[in-house]
Amino acid sequence: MTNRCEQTENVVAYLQAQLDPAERDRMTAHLRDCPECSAMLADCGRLLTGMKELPVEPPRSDLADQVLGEIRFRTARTRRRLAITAVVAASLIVVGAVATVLVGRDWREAADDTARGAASEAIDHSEAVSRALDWLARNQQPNGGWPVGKLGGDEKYEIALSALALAALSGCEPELRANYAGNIKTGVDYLLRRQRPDGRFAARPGDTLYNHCIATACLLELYGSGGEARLKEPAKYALDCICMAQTVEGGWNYTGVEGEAPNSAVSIWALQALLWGEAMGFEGLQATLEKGFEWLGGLTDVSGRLGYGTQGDFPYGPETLSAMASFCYRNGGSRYLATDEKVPRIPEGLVERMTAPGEIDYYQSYFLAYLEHPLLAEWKGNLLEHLVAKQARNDVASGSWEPGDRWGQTGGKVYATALAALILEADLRGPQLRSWAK
Amino acid sequence: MEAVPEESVDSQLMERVNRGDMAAFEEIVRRHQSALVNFFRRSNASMEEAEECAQETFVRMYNYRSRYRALPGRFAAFMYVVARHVWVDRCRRSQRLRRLTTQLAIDSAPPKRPASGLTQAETRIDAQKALDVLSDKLREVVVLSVFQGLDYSQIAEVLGIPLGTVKSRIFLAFQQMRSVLSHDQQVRTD
Repeated sequence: MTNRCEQTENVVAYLQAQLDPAERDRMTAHLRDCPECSAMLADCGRLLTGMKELPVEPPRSDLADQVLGEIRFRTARTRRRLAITAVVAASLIVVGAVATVLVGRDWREAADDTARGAASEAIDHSEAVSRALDWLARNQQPNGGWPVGKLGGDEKYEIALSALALAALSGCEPELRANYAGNIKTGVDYLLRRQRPDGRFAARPGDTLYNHCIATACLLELYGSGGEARLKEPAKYALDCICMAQTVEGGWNYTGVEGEAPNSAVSIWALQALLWGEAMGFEGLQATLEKGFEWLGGLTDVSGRLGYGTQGDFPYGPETLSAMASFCYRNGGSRYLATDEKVPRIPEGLVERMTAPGEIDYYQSYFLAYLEHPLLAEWKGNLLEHLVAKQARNDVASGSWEPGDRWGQTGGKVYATALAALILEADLRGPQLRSWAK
Repeated sequence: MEAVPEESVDSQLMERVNRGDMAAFEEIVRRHQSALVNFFRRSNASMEEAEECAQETFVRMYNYRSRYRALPGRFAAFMYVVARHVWVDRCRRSQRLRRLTTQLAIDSAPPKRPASGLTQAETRIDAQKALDVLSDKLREVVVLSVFQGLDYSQIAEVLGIPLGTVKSRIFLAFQQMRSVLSHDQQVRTD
């Protein structure tokens, strides 16, 4: 049996200067007379030196950016979760009061159910949004636009789709948006360089009014969100151009050429731009809005379905147009539709006929995702999960979506990705848009 | 003018962080990222794990910033309390955490009688090997003390154990490392 000196337990502490002064002095004296402790002191001293000489490995890259990025991401996610709970609960009451979409059962009952469900099941899609915005940023051209023609779409719609991509980049939470400040600025510069003297946004002669109306709506959203002074005058000219392009019937057509019949697809974008413009203080729009909604009301049938060129005219089905009109109604249009008969409604049975999982109609889904009707809540939850699951995660396509719907060949990847991102941002962006509805 | 002690700099930075100064937190990250990465590496993490754990530690430190109180020696203890929790969480997830009570029984077994006269070169070369034989419980006190530079009272705070227990564990760890190295030397000289 080995008798260990009782002081050996203090040797390492002595070596590391961790003894109090009195203990240290006693140990110093003891070491003069104890070979065992002295030997241990020597060996432990060499061990200590050996360990301190082991290589120090710095991180392979500076962690600061990643750390701060993660902090911003988690902070925004927490705020969004809290906001979703409050906003969904409150906005469902507003939805019911405005009577934008009337389907089936008592909206108050449905609103309470959905609010409780939303509070406990807030879905976090922020990573998918981040990936999508990264893809948009990576694929932005140096001139600030997006190469729609090279990404599976028709270059004729480059202005509209670039504008929607811009809306997606600026529609995320502020901490994330800061990462894309350069992209947003470049994109805005691209739009402004394409504004003609008459105020129309056009990349080439004959560019459609459709492009212009979408671009104007997106520009106004940027102006209204950030208040960037340099956007005010271009926005005013763009709105003037819309007013000038209104047909005698009261709507807007695709090309802006006199004599071509108006259609609701272009008109809703025009009206939305005008509504936001009015909310932001641009004057002289009221008469145009009154006439436009008078015309739009005439396209609504007794079931609340919106036609394309006339009442009952559904070349692409009634759902998308009705959803677009409902979106517009919720975002300011309600003050121009005088009677319930003129309020566009989601057709009965639409919820049951919703596109099955696997089929995403990005355009239709975008407008529906912003309606926040209780009977759409489950559909929306499934849609969001499905969008996240379908997002590309590999190589250069990471963050994008395949444009598999009926507008896919027209819009390409920019269309699918911009709209998917806007859908995922609905809970954050929606309240901002509705705040402009007086 | 005297240089501001390192600990005071960190405390001042944390006070700024608590006032919403993210630039101060960025500085904290840069000041301590290498030390944290090495803490996890010494705890047997791969480099990738060590970097992830270091990031997670900083994020949690930011989240817990309101709990930080600027007292002498507190910043290091604060940081390594968080780091240790991150590492324990990681180990639990990867199911690498050994049963510490069993290991403590092994750790308490009387060490072999050491031979004397370990050469400088031998201790330097084999220091890593000696560290590797330590249990998690003994390794963590050595890492905090030798590599991260915490004093025993800070280690006691980080681990939530009495000061005397810190001293005992460090002694036990050095005894084991010493016996491993001396056994190796014995084998070489036989």
